[in-house]
Amino acid sequence: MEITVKDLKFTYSAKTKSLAFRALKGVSVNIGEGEIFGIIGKTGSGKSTFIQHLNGLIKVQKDAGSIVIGEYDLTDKKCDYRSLRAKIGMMFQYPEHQLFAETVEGDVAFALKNFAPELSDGEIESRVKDALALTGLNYDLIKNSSPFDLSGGQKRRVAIAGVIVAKPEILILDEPAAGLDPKGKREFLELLLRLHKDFVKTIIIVSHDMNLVAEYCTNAAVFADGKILSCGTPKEIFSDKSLIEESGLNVPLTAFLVEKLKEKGVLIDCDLTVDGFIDGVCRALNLKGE
Amino acid sequence: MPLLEVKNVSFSYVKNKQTLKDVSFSVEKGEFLAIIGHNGSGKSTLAKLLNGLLKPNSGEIIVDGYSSSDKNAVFEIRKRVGMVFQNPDNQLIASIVEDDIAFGPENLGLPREEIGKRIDFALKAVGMQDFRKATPERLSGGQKQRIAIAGVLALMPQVLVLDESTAMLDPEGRKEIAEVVDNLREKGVAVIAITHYMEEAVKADKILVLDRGEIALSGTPKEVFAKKSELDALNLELPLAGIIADKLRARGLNIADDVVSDAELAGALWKLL
Repeated sequence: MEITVKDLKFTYSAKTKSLAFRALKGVSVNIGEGEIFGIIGKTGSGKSTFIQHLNGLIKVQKDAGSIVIGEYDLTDKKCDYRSLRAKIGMMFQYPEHQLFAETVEGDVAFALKNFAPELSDGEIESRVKDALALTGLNYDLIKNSSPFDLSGGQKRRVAIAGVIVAKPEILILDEPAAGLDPKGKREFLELLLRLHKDFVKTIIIVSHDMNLVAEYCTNAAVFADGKILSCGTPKEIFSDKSLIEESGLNVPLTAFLVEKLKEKGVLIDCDLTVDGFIDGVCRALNLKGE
Repeated sequence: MPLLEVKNVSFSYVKNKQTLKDVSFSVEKGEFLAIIGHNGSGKSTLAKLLNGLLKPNSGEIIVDGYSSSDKNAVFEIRKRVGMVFQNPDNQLIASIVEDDIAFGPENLGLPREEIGKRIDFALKAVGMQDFRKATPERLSGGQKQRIAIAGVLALMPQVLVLDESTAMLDPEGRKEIAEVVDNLREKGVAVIAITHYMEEAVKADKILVLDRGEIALSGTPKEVFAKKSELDALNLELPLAGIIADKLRARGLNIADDVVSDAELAGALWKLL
């Protein structure tokens, strides 16, 4: 499903003039199927308000632009949000804070039971099993544990299992790696890549971690003051100095190094992933040797 | 005598399960100590022991001569060790910035004039002088966290403990807090930062690595990050600059073994190319 957002505006407390706050001031963006799309920008730039629109947690206000996701027109009063939400999984910051059930199995099955009440107990069990397996957890060992007895990394896996159990086509994640230790973070991001190869077609990541965006995102949008300042590949975004300054962001380490070497007159042409950068450096060295 | 000394401290929340085992280390005036470790290694428990929110089951913590084993010393310890947590929203209580910062000094019963001076000092230390009359809820994450730090600084602590205080901040907010830390160290305040960001830990004077409640490694960033296989076994990694340096070395490039910071990597590449 492709996501097309046109001139989206949103005002909090719109009915009370003195408190009204314009969080989105005309956002247009196109997110194609298959992308891992980054959303970056300072605190308060409108990122969260924007993503909450995408699965209808915030409804599009009157005369405030449009959102079309696949066959769903979110400005249409008859839009079937229930089936839309089954197709768009959303994981907030610190999703482990949302765990609530007595057992891991109960927690993971919760959304599925709501989205697909027609499923038999056996079918639900096998879907829960699959979802936990995808996150690298062993169903038989963990199904009866309390989610609250697990480690931070495990809790986050259970939380995402509860989202992917509904087999969403689009996954939206707010700071997916925050609070995880370095290895937990790497494993979690690798899990996302596996899901992306499986049934999840599009992933949207909100993050303050520019290294993560450079490494994993195909495209990204830079939010500032309720608008999108720029949209493009990480390479396009992070090589635009005035854009980075205006948006109050920093650059990933690879972009910093490319820039430093440029000051010396060495041009490294590469994408900004770690491996891309290393290839770029090796190419530059070979050229120098010749 | 060091400013803060942790001597053979053990702690458990429940019987038969030790959260911290025989932990010892010390921090000097103006020193910057980073504590790293995987989720559940005991970092936050250690932080809460440092200012008396928790009490050791055995061993003692001595701050500026006051011992945690002395019942009457806990307030003296808390005056000297300030804590800032992950989410500033949980730590800000008043609707005006200056009231929020005045809360601590008011509770110490300080005279009005002195409180005014403390507010000036604290706001200046975090670079928020212009926001004295502002409403905390209208500030950005980084600004809020700076106000939370100012509230702690108004008590003139000698040690500042930051428990993942930058985890929720945007890049600018993180940079702001790093500047505050530098500024405080110049004033002689010791800073203890608990963090998952190896890029933050690499800036510390000393790193302590916790694993299942015990100190697994300690030393300067260079010493700690030289122990790659140990770190790997502890669920930790090098800072990204160290990872890239490793990968470049694997491709046959001549990069010194001890490159761990962004600037060092840039320098090494500068020489090479």
